[in-house]
Amino acid sequence: MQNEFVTLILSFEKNIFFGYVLLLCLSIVVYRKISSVTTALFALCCWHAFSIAVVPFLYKLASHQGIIYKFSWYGSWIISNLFFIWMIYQFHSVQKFRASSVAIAVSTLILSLSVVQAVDFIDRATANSGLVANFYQLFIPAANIAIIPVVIYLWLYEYRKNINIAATGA
Amino acid sequence: MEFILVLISLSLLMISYHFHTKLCALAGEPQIYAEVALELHQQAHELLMRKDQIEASQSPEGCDENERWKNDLAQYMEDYEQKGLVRRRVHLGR
Repeated sequence: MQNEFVTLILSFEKNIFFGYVLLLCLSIVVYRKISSVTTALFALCCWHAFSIAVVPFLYKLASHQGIIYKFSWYGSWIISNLFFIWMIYQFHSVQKFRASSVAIAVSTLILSLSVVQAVDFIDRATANSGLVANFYQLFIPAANIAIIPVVIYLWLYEYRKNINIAATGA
Repeated sequence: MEFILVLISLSLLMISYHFHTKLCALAGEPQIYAEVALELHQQAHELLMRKDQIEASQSPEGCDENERWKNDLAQYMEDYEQKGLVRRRVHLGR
């Protein structure tokens, strides 16, 4: 049961990138300019593309024995996550956008993945109990999939709120 | 060795949390802006009304163009005030 579930999630996750690109295209079509939602989805696409591109190299590196190789796997994920969180923040601060809840949701997703990486690394480096390993394997693809409905919901919520503001004349 | 690596990962985590909180601070209209904008609207409205009263008492015959301009301005102020009220309701929740 568990294995089938895991393989199902992993097979979903292989095609999740198209979902991200679709969301990005949709946001560009809707807004027709650079906005908070567009930059957040752009950063999400870049982040996922980067992780896809880097995975084979990191697999090769992490297959060696030794804690420093293990750290190269976890550390590079944490650094890349840090870079993309900074990228979202920098876009907003340079363009003087109000951060929409979509941007905050994307940033929270990347931050939570960073936390999970760090927790798993600490487990590997100290107790090596493997307690978090299962959670680690399940949480990352699940979070990657879950961000899509969350983004759609928050986006529609803000969109409706803005329409209400426009209707009342503010 | 392990200690240093754990330390590095935790410090990177704290830096990313720092940027995340900075992003959260960019969300939402700052409350002080809304308050100040509302205060300004009220003051401008009061000043305009006072000027209106003074002018009306000084020249009773009046000028049509001036009157129309004042009507337009009053309409504009009314709209501006309504917008301020809606913005306060939306962003401050009261």
